[in-house]
Amino acid sequence: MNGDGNLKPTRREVLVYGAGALAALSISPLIAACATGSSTPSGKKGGTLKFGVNSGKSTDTFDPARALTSMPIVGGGMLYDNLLDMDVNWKLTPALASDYSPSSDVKTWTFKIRNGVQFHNGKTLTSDDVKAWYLHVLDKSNGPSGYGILHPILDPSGITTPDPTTIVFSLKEPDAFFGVKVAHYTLHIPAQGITDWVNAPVGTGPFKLKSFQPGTGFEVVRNPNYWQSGKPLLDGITCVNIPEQQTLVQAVLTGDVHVSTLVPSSSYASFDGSSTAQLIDLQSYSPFTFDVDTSIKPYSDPRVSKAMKMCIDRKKFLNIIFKDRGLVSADSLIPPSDPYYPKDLQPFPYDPEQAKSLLAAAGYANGFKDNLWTSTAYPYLDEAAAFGKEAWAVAKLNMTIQSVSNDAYIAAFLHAPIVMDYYLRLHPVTMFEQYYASTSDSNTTRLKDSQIDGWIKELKATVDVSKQQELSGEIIKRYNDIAAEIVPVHFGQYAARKKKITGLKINPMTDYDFRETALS
Amino acid sequence: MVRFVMARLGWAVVTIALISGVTFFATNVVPSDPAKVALGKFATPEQVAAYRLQQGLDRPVAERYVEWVGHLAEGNWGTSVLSNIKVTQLVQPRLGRTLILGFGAMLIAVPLAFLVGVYAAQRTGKPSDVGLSLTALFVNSLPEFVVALGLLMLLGVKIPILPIESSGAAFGSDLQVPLAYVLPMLTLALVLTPYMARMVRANVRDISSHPFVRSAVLRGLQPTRIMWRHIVPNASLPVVNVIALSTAELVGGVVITESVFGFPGLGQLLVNSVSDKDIPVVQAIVLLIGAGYVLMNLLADVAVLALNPRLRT
Repeated sequence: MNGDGNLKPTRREVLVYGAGALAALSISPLIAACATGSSTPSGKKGGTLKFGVNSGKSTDTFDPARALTSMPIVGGGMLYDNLLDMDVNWKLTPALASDYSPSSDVKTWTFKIRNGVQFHNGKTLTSDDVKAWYLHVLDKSNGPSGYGILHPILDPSGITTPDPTTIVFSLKEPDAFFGVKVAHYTLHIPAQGITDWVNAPVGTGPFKLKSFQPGTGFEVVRNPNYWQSGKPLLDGITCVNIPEQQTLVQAVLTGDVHVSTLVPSSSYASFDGSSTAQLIDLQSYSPFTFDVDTSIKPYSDPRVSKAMKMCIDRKKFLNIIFKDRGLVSADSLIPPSDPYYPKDLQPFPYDPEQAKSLLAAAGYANGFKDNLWTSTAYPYLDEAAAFGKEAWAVAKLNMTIQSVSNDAYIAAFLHAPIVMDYYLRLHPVTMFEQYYASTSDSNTTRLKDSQIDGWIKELKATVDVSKQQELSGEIIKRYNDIAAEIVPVHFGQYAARKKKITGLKINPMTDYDFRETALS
Repeated sequence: MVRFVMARLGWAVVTIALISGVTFFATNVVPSDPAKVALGKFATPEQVAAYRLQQGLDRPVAERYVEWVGHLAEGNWGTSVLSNIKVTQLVQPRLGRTLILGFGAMLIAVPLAFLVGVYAAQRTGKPSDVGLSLTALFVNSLPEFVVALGLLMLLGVKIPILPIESSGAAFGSDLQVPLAYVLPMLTLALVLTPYMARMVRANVRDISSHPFVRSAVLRGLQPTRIMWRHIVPNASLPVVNVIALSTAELVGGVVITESVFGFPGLGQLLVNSVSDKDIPVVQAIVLLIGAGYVLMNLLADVAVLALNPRLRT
């Protein structure tokens, strides 16, 4: 789950770093501008696409620093641009920055601002606009998401603009992955001085806002002055909120809606048999977890946490909860499919008898009682909690399920001993910094391990890819061994679309990139 | 009659004032923190405290209530604590759509209920009466979301003649706008009709046994005229109150129906606001619903008074 109690946008929300930075850095510290936007899309121009979401809230806002749910985050990708773009393979390409280069110690990053880019209000983009937004995000009172990403490595005084087309970030510490941070959606660049984020957000993005009703939907129209020539193809996009998931599914199947956000696993079969609509694999295996507090008894005892892990039949969990659409995993927030996942790492085996022995050795032969926090506000949590309760009951661990409202659920994080949760796939370094590091406010398993902290620091400072992979493997293995966090599976994520849509690209930040999308 | 109406109006104002007070205090004493919801689970205590201060959530409930009432009197409904948007901006467009939806459903349900009720009453004990009564009972027992999904599958999927989601009410053009209302309106009408139809049937049967009806028959009046000019108006009096009371059912139905169809109305906003503990928005909507309910009952009282001369003496 993300930092805001919203499950769906988590991947977008906390995706901070990317392997693209690694790949780029391993080639050269000076990265030439890629031909971003130079390709001409081939689809048919015109038409308005209808995009369906089911998590619209009256709190929705186009303030990138406060965007929490699908509607404003996906919409942010339509209205704004980042300095850099990032694809699902974590590859970075220049966007509002035409060029960028880190210093040899990856502590100073210089970005050249693309010439001639105009905001929707006609003003030309300068480095001052970028600086103003980064300073806004670095102000704690403007929301935790972007602040949490930037403030550990950057002070306001570390941003300088030598000229209107150059911005320099002098970091507090080396960070080989800073390039990926600037691709985060909270660092979309709006125009300076916006105060009305509902009626008048102004960006440089491919679409301009026509109307916005928080919690209901919004309309955008093509930006004729978009800096990528020939894009976008669509005349506009209408985003609508359809809270009932089955209605959203049927709306895509019948063609009322062209593209949707995530659909429930129970509806996958409907798309298998459809001639007009299909599932979209968002190319993301994401960890589904029991957030267990490693810092308190009895979970701080490695024998207890190991026993709890061995009570879970992970294959059965995947089959029952996710209809086998996912991967069985060791207790790692990095999926087994990730290149950084150590190939020799296996999950703890399903062995209730050994679990009982471990508990007896730890002094819990008669088990213990606790609460297991979950919520109906998000899919799968209650079902997974029921699975855990049954599994642990075999070893006399009596869990009382507390299925609560959204706000009570959010309040349970970092306070209750066991909370059901899920995250979206992130680059390993993102996961390490956000959830593995002792100093992180988001460390849900509350693990404090100096060895892991040291490895994370070392990892961020090196540009040697093989060294990075080695360090990542060590971190993942150690976390599996000593954290009480239980990650039975990484689940696949699927949205839905009409088959006739062309040029729809997946974006790790905003789910979709509609710039080359056409209704054909 | 004027005195009666004025007295009822006075009580209506008192009732609405009570609703506002109860709503305000009830929503403010629930153990939840909108600041947490707004900022997310990883917000630091300092950020939460700053947000509470900024939104005035740190001040005593009574103080905030007095201020809220004062602003309300000036036409200021406050600002959403989560989105910083004026409540009127959030509520107004949705209120209009929900009113159209509700009144539209009533316009379908009331005549339909009379037609079905009268038809069944005229055939008391016959298979058509039993069939209609059983059907009404069955539909009446179905939850709103089942009726909504049933209609959605029938008229949106199996016979795809209507849009199955209602975003067109907010973002549609031309025919898309009215079409967006059809399925939710039909759902609400179907939910409201059975109870009213059964009341009409029972009252028509009751009035039919009165001496003045027999006298009309003996005078040779046409059965249709007897029914629609003499029986139905007399049978309508209790039904008027049932229609007013159905407003409450309508509100519940609107909340569920709007969620199923994604209808951009007040019900969906209420669900969101309650879930997010956006108290000013919840207060505004509950107050509007309460006022609507009180107004409907007031209108029903006046209508009964107008229809029954004996009550005016």
